[in-house]
Amino acid sequence: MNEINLLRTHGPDAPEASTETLRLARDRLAAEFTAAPARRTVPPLRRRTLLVAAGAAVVAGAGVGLAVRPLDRPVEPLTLVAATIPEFPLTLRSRPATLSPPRYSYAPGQFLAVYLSRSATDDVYLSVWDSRPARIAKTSRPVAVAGRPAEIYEEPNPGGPRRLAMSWERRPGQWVSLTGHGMFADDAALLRLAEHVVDEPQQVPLRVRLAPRGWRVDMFKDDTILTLRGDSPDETLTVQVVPHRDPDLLRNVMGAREERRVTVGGREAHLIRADKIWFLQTEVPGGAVVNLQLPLRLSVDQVVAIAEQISVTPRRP
Amino acid sequence: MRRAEAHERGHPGVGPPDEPSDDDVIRASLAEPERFAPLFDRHAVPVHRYLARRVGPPADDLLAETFLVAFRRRASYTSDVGVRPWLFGIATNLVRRHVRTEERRYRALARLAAGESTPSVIEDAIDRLDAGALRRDLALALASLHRRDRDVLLLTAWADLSYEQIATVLDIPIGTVRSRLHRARRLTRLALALEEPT
Repeated sequence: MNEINLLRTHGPDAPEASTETLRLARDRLAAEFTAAPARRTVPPLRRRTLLVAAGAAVVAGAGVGLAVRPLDRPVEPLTLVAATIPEFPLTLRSRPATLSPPRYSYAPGQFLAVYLSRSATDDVYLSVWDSRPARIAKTSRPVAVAGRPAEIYEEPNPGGPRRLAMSWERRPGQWVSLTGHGMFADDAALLRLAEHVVDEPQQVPLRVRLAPRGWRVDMFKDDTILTLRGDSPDETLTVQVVPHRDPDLLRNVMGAREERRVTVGGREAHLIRADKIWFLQTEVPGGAVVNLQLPLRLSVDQVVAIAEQISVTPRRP
Repeated sequence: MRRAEAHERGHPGVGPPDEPSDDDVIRASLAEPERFAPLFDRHAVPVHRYLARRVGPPADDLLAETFLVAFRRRASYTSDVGVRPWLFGIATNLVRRHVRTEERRYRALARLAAGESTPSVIEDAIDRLDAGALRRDLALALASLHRRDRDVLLLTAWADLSYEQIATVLDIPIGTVRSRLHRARRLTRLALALEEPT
């Protein structure tokens, strides 16, 4: 028997994970799901993968949706109407000089503004919730923000700087949390930041002003990805800001069948017909390049009309 | 192929037809974070066992941290390595913050193994003494290895990872994996007074 096998059979062993251990670990993970948009920017090199992955999710969803739809029921044409994009309701009236302008992420029930620091270790997150946010920490300490009860708790941040969070019910039905890292992971620093949280709605930079009737914003991430959804799983509109044009969409878009040139707002754009989706890449006013994915139920004219209503506000320095 | 084995391999499209593969789960979780949860159910037990064999009780916290890190880094996951090896890689990196705990644990286990009581039946006693000595020597060998060599050895022995998988999850050249494993195995053999393979 060699040493590898001896390690397997006679090496240090340990009891199996208890049900309680597994449950606690799973709960911590589940709590993280709601805070998912808190991720930093997706590295540029990964963006295409992410895009294709998003496409795959759409395709998978489409398969499920079509499978449950009665075959004899005609698919109604989609009508385009003005879309409403949520605005972040708050702002930091006085932003510390070390923090960049916020980047926004949204999921139903939670809206997040991420203030990245130039040092990459002193970031601040400002979140607005419809209900009391779940927290991972087991213990907290009470404080007061503008006379309202608040709690401060330390959150685990494996491999990263210290992370301290403070949450309070700012008004009935509006919960706010401030999360500080590094130099902002400090009670006094968080309380100072909280003094500067004011009602001042902020437009998010990535917007689309036209969408099929009844489709609502499902999520956006980091000012980079915006998704609207209808009632069925295949009804998904996704816009993604990408660093540059892809010269070979036909090869790189999953399931691509054919490519055609279209005009979007006077600019030449590339439209791919894939197995289950339209995929359009175009430049928008200001120079940003975006990818738009829509189900094949929409006509080419509708895809182009939606693309013409996409805007990307250049990031402030 | 059993379900667990199918997922262990981590190849896209491998697995029961009614369940998404690990890679599909990760892709879906990019848009819908809660879709990540099945990965915990599939891999938490073996990841915990690996951690617990290395650090003991802190494994409970490290298990949660492993999956939190994996979830946060899921956008950078590449399907060429497989999800389970990827998780073992994350767990191994987290263990590095507990090197002293790990080495203390091995030394404590060695003391325990050395002090095991002898049973009354002579032959059984000899067997047990041999086994106890073996456990002691293995534990001491692990405690004496350099942390980086130990990572490679235990990813091989306890996580069943190949050279290529270890190189990927630890982000080191495959030649480095080979040399570290060679050194770790040689030192372990020396500690166990095993003969060099011919």
